[in-house]
Amino acid sequence: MKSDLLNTLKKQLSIELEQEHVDFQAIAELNKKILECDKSSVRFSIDARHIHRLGFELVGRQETALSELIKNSYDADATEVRIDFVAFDKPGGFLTIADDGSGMTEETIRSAWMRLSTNDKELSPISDRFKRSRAGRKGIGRFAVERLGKELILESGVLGELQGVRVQFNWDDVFKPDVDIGMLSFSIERFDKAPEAHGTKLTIVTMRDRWTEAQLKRVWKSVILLQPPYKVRRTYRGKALTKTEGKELDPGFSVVINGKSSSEIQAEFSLDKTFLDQRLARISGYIDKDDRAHILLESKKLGFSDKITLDRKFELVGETSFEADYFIYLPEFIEGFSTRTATDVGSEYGGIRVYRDGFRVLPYGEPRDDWLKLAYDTGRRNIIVPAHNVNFFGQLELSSDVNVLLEETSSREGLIENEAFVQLADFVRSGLEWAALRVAAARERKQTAGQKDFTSKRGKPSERVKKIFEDVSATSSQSGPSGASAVPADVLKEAQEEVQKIVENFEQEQEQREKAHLRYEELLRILASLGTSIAVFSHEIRGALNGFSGSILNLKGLLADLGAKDKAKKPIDDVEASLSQLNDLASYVMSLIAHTAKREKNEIAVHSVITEFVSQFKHYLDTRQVEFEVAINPPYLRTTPMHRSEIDSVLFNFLTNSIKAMDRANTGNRKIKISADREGEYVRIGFQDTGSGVDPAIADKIFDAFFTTHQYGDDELVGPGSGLGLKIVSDIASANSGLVRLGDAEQGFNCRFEFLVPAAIAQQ
Amino acid sequence: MFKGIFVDDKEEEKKYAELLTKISSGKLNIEFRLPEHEVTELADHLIGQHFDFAAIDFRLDEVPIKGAEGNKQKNKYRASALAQQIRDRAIDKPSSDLPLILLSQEDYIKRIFHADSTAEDLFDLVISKEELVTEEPLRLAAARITSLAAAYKTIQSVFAKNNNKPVALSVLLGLDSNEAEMVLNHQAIRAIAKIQYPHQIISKVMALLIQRPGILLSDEHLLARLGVSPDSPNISQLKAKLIDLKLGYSGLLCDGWPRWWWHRLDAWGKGILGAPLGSSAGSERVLKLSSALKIELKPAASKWSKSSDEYFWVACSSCDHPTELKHSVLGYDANYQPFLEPSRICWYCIQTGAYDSRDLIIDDSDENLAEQIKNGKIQPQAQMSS
Repeated sequence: MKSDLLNTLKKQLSIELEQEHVDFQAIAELNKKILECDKSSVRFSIDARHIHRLGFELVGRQETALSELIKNSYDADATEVRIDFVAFDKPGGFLTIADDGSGMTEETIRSAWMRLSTNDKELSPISDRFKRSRAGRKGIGRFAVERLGKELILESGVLGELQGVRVQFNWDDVFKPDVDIGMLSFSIERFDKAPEAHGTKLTIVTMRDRWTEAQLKRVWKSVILLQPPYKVRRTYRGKALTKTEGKELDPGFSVVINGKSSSEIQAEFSLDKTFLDQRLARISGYIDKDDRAHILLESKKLGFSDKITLDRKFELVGETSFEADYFIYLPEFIEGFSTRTATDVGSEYGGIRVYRDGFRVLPYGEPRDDWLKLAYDTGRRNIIVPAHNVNFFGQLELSSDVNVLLEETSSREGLIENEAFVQLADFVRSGLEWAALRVAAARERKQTAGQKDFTSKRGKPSERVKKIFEDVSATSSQSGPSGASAVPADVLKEAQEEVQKIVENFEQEQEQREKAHLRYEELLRILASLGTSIAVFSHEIRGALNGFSGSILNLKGLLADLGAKDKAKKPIDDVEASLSQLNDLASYVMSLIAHTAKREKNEIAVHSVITEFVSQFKHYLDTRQVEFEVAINPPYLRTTPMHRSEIDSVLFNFLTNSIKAMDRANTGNRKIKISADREGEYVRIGFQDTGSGVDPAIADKIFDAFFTTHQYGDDELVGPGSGLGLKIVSDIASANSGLVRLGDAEQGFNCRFEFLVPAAIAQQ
Repeated sequence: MFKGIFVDDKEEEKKYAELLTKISSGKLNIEFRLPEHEVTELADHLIGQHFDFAAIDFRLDEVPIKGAEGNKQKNKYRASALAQQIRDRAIDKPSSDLPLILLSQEDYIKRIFHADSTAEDLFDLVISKEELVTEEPLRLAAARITSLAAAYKTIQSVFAKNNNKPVALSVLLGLDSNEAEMVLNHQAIRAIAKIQYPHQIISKVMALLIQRPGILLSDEHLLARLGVSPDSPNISQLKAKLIDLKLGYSGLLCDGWPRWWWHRLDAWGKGILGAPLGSSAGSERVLKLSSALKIELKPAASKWSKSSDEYFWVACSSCDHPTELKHSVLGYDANYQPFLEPSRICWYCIQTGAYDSRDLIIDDSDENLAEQIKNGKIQPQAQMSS
């Protein structure tokens, strides 16, 4: 029975083959039926509807589908791809994707485009013309177009040909269940074109889904990775380059997505908006003719610039220069990109590339290269600030006639690693590391000592994670034509990575805070032990002073008994006066210790504290010829509950600073004014003097720990500057939700410090 | 001359004994002794030697003193332990009772001694060594020690004459019986007459008469009652005139703590002003007093209202300045008695917080008022208009 069928099919096939106009479809069907008569083996067949299932399984989201098509254009050496949406705000619109890439011949369409799971990109990972690393996922293009719309018109042409090829696919009507995909045929149409025209145009008709702004934005972000974020070098010393990095100059790749919604809103994205605009800082460095290395740093985002000349000479390198953009991949520093995308760009293109005579010297700046040992040292936490290769995008210029000791190896795979090369790496590495540390310092410094929103600028981690979860939920509610609400895997993955990054950043910040805290604790331990010593010794000193005073009194009595003349009494009176001064200071220390011993916080009456402070030091200030003025208004001012000794400490630190400043100014007009008044809900204590004032250049550093302008020998009593005085004042302010700052001095004074703490609740 | 002893574990502190002896101009003779014995032995020694007073440093154990028989430190005790031993012996034999003065460093007194009220009761007087660095405080300390020694002697002598039985307080205070009946007829004061031990009588006299205004007034309270400014000229002449008028107190402890009889001042004032002292403003009081005494005096001015037309009555417990009742709040006193003048703290000291460092407590009844002053809800007229 079956052999009869086979014979019949053979006859029908023979008849078809002998006809003048061959019916290929009939031959294909006969061929299929003949194969089914094979009793000795079995064969797979593919249902046409499988295309649709693959489309949705392999390309879950429509924006991923579009991204894949853009990548195909990039892989085809296109310099531009234009994407035009029409009526995209609801299903049924249409979309064109047109590039100026190498295009496809009829043969390529037949053998590659129409063949499922071709491994063309595996076999040719680098593009023919611009040697691009191919980005598209293999064989996914036709599924992508099927995912996007019900119909596709594929038009393509290659350079030099007079005709292009057009094929039309109607996915939903033709690719039906129970139809073998091999039996489906699509007619090829040829059209005339100019020989210089080349490229591919995909027209997707009857789009399956609407497109939102958020989805378009995601498409744009996904294509950012397709090219380096920096401009490809086109000239060297004024001459146009025809090749770079050993290949034809890649003119770049631009993507323009241009859609128009029914509400007439234009949505346009272009890669011209460069990634590098997101830099946190620009670093540049050069070695001058005297072999000195200079590094310049500018950060518009942090609002500061700085420069340094390295402390050693680079005699073997010769004049050269580098520049680099510095990135920290935190959400607050990267706008318009997810940190994941930005980090990916950094991983792919980060590093410092080397150019010699205008040509790229490999492998410096390649993803796995670590010629500056940045990855090595950040990995081992020898550098704790962000300073991995991925954090820098930069290049270094060398010239064969100036940097003569820096030669390429004979294999043209890098420079000879001689002493000159070691110096070169040291120069660049030192510059980058200094800049990264300087940026870290600028990021950590508060604008004012009491600034409370310092860590909260980027939002709490919990809030940021919540926002990510909300975004994921929003995605799930709009995904899938079938109304399925599952979160697409790639969205979920991206969200997981974002959350992971937030947690890691938080942990890193926590670690830094702990380090700072430990350092401060260490300082406190030192100060505490110092305080204990002072407490013990001040008691002893006070006892000794009492004894001394008693002895002087005794001596005076004896002299009186002996009928001593005034001349003999004078030195004793002088000693008595000095003792009185020392007793004043000892009393101050003792009272400070007594106040410090009281742990409880109380509202502090400012009038009383200032009055007592002034009276305590009156004798000391009189002897130093310092005029004192006090102005407290209103007299009932009271602070928020705090330790009395804290206010004493603030006043004492201001006082010693003022005396040092007035000594430095060497002025005959020695005046101090302490004032207290209200500023909003704060009590403000002003401390003014006629000293040398604060140099504006160091105004932002004076509240930092260990910063001092004083030198030993300034004053034998108030002591040299420890660099802690104003830091302590600043910490006291912070601890009490206040602040300390430089204010505008009144007429007749040169410097004014202001200490502000909240007023007592009842006075607010 | 009174013979005393100063016990301190530091040899170099001997100078305080010398200084006090010298400044007293022959009234005191103080010898110095290290605590070389166990506490009971030392107490026996002090009683046995019949000293008129003993000054003791608080820390007697800082410099170890070892006996000849071994390495054991003998002076492992503080002033309060020694004082307790002495007081115990005085209970057995009141005639051997003597004034005990704590003479020590200020921070020990503040931190440790005042924290222990039982120890406080053992001493008649506390002097910080830090005060004894200039002549004036030294002179005052010597006067007070002398006064205490004299008071003990007076009490013991009166007791001896009365066969060691308690005597009427009026005898000790220098009042005749009629005056005493009018002034001292208060339960707490009557109770003093039943006490047999000199140190307890001194303690009560101090607490109820000397240290608190009421029956007696200090110089500061005297000026407040008269409405005279502490900065006034001729205050010495004023006091001399009042002493001539027998207004001054001349009983126990009067040399160390000059005081004024309030009932006599009150009567005298009525005679001058034609009305009680408190019934006219300070400026008026001073005008009439100046005229009557033929001394130029300056009226006090309120620290709150800056006016002399206030009805000054007491010295502020914080600043000692004459203050009027209407611009002062009530201070809390755990040992208050109805015949005492309650402690008052002026509004200025409340406003500026000056009273904070004086260990004064505002009475609950005036706490709300004080809060309003502290927070600027109540301000002097001058400040409100500025």
